[in-house]
Amino acid sequence: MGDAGTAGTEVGFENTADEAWGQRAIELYESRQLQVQAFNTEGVVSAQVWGSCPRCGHDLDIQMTLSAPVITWRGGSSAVSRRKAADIPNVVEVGCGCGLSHPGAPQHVTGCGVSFRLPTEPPAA
Amino acid sequence: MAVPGNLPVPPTPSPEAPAGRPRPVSPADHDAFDALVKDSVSSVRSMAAAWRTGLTALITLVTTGIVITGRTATTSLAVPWRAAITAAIGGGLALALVGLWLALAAEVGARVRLQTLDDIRAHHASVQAYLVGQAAAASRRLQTARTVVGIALGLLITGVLLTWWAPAAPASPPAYLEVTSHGGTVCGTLRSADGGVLRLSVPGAHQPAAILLTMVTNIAVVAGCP
Repeated sequence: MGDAGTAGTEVGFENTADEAWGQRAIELYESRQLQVQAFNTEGVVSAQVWGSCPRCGHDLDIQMTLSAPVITWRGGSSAVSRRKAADIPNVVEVGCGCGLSHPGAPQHVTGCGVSFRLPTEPPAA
Repeated sequence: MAVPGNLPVPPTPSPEAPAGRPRPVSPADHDAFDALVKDSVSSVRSMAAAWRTGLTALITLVTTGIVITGRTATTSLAVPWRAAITAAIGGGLALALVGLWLALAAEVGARVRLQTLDDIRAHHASVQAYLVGQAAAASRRLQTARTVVGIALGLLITGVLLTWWAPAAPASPPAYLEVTSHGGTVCGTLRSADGGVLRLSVPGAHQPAAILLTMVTNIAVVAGCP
């Protein structure tokens, strides 16, 4: 860590889930520079994360679908019933999705490589 | 999902890693889950199509048996049994239609609705999540269809079993005979007409009335005796 939050493609690619970046992400989240909105509509859980990447500082806009109907071979009542549907998780895992290629990144990989977790509840005012 | 592109695996925590350290998700898992999400609508519809075909075949099998047996199996039954069989088979056929309708709706959709991007974004994080919601709704409808068809098959099979085991209605004479002879007129049901003697069971009399055939001047079939 050391080049936090400065926009620029000069930040090299690094596959990291370092705690320090997680902390930085939480700071950005609390200052509302990094935001999360989660949905649970009829059992389908999805979330959108947008704001600044804690590592490269580029703008993120990540849309995640967190639940999907899966065909199973086990019997019983419907696994997609609204009552049994998964609830919104407390945290979501986010990877840098700035869409830009960073030096040293594998081919066709965009983003600076950082991944971190963010709470889905809005930050305390 | 959250990690874009084909990012390599974030560092896996060693067994000595702090307990609070989150377990990373591999990019391969992210990609696999993405594929699962993207294919969810088509896979659920394929499943609905297969179920619809299977349910149709099952219902066709059962109803064909009922049609072949036809009403001959029920016309000889007492009215309460016939009513029960009619209710079971009629209810079964009605529910089978409802179930197949639901299965069809799960396969191809039920309604066309105009949606704006804002409408979708008001309830979902993305259009992809909305499509997953449609797939989940189709799954729920298919589950309802399976339940309804299951009840329908139960009713149809109950109806068929009732035709096997229901007692036959007591035989009743189709008509009475009114026999006129030189000695008068006698009305009753025919018991026998052999040995030159006609025997009639007369309502209210224990012994059958016997009339010599040579004495008979007229025989009439009547709906009832006076």
